[in-house]
Amino acid sequence: MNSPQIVLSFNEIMFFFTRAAVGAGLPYGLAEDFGRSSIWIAAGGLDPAAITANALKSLDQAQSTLSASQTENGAETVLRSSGEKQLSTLFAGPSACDWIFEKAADSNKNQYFSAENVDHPFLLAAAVGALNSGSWEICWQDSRGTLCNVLTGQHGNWKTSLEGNENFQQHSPADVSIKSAESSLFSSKKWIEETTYSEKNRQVVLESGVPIYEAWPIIYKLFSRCLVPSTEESHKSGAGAGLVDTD
Amino acid sequence: MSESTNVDTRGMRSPEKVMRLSRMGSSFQTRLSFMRSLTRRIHREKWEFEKIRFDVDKDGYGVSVYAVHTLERTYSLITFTNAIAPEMRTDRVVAEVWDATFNLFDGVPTEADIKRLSLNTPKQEAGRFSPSELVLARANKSLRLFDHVASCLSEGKQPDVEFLASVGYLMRTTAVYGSGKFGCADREKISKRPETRGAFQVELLTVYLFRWFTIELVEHVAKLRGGGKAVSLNPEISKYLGIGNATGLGMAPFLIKHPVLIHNWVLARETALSRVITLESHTPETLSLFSKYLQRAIQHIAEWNVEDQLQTARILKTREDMNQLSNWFADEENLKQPFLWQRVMLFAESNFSLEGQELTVSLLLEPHGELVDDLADAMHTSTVTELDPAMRLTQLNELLQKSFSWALEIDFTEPEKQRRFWYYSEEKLEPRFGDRYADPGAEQEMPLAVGRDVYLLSKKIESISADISVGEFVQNYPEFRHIIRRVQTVVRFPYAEIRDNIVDAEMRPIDLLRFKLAFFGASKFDPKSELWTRITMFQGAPLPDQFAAKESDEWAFPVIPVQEVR
Repeated sequence: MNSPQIVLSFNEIMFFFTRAAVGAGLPYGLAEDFGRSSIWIAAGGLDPAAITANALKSLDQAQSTLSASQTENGAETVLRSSGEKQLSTLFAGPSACDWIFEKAADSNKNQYFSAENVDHPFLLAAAVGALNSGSWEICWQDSRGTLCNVLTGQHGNWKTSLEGNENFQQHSPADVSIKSAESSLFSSKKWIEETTYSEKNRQVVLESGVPIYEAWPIIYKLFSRCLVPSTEESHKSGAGAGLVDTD
Repeated sequence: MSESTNVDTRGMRSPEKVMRLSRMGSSFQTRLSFMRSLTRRIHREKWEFEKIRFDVDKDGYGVSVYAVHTLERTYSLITFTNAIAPEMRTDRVVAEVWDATFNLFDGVPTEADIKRLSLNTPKQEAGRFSPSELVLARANKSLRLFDHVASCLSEGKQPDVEFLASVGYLMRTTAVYGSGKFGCADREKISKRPETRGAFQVELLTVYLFRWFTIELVEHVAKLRGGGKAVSLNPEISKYLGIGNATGLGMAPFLIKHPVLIHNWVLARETALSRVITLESHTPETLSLFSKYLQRAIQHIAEWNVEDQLQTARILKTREDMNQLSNWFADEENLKQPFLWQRVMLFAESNFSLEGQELTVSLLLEPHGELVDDLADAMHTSTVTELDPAMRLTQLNELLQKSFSWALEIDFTEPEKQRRFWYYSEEKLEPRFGDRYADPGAEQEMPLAVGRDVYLLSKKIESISADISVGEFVQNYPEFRHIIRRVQTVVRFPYAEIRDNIVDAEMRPIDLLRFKLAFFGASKFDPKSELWTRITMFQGAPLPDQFAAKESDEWAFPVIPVQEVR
């Protein structure tokens, strides 16, 4: 693997990625959720720029939409794009989290949430993971027909059937379902073999930083849209102090 | 003071009173300020200090490593000093060179660490750092004082203390970055360590160590210049030397972005005040200490001189206030009644300026360490803002009416009510304060206008007849997601919001800066405009070899030391 373009702290990920999302057209509140998802990805030792860049580009280029409608059909809640475009995961993720929050007090654990035609399914799982709200199973089929799963657990732990960076980065729309899972599922036979991301990963990353590779310029370019070009006047007086200060 | 329950502020000063910009901009340090809690810990835990390396030439340029050994860990200040041209010296973020640049390192650095940092630290924002570095900072000399002190010491004389007092420091920091900036360690890495859990403890430890370094640096330069004739600084003069700081707009957004943290700071101070003023009786010891600090504060304020006309007028009024308080205390009758401290506060509120009142708060806490110092342990937070999508819109509206009436009373359709905006410049990401109707960039405004956003949210809710859930509302109007999340969170924390319009044409950022700097423990506020101020930190605090003294916590309101006649 090439050398990273930059190694970021979690705080920098929140700062740059939140504003990159704003630069791509996301309202600030949703961008904050995206920033938190990006930290969750980074805490797993993954490159959040590589994984999120396509979702940001898709929104920026209007291939995906933030416009959606949500309906309830019995036990199922369905979120679908209002038009023909793919549903941006940057909107679907927070919507799924809101649904989880609303259902948290509900004793009926058979309810589930579906988001149709989501542009980047893994990022929906990242939003649920960042919520850190117990055990949830997130499933979708990738473009090759393979079933992909993410299982979130207690204390920020999670497992996934995905392997290799390219699978996390895969950008093919899919219908995504989310359902409550028993906490015992985490150690069940079905999941025992899957890759586990735990608090230990987070501690390792805190000690070493988050390496960001080729997609960094995409993030930074979108971030830069939140900056205001400096003028002669603002350079001189926009921040108060003089340009030569002695005492 | 649990963060998970509603806060009971009965018996305390109300948020409507305390969280106004005019009062926030009149704040003073208290014994709960972060510098004070740091020096108390150093004294209590008997931290040890060690100069590990001092490769500095006759002009004061080179590399040094100063370490502090706490109970469980060692932290090291690595400093690089360089020659720079006078015309390159600026307090602004846009500066590119500094007299000194430094890091606080987690542990003891290896040669490889120092070499790596020598290539990055002098570049500051343009360098990159690792989680081994907890803090990145820089400082510039007070040329006139540094040269004066070096010359005097080299000739075997002590510096002129009156001149020294007019500056107060040998160097002033112009930025102190922590919490993951430029690749440094995230706060999460150190937030569970007892010695760094409190707010801004690593940043202030860095400044404290740097103050020690500046004193040793000037003595080193003097010694090499004067040889056998040179002398060291008198310990009392050393103690009186603080570290300067120039603070600009970068500090202001922090206060808006961390409402729960700010609540915890203010709650601690107001709880402390409440504990003191509800004491029915006082002891001779606390009375004696109060009198001692009052007299010292009077002298401290008398020695506080600035060029800014508005601040000068405020200082003059505060001097009058303190003299009034001194006279009140001289009347024996006033001391005989119960609830002395409550009557002091009532007297201040009835007769003093805002600065006088806030200085009185500081004075009231000072003799009561045993009663209030535990509160310093609660001045941090891990709470983040969270959305409650299950809440109904009518409930949300009730929260707005109950907790944000201050914002709903402002007519934001008036252009002057939102003339200003905050933004990041593309030039080194410097935070700046713009005029919405004259400057470019309002579309890139930082999301800090809480009052205006609450006002707009209220108007939108008014336009919707159905009592839908917040979750449904934010699906339709995602532009309100951030402000709803904030409202739903901060209603549990009454001191979280600044109850003023921070984009008003008349808004003075300096008020925000002073509030935060007072919580740090700064003194001698010296506003240079409405956008930035200079201050002094750790002035009067014990140096590393002075902590054994019993009174090492008693450094509030430092005054000019008496000059020895030689």
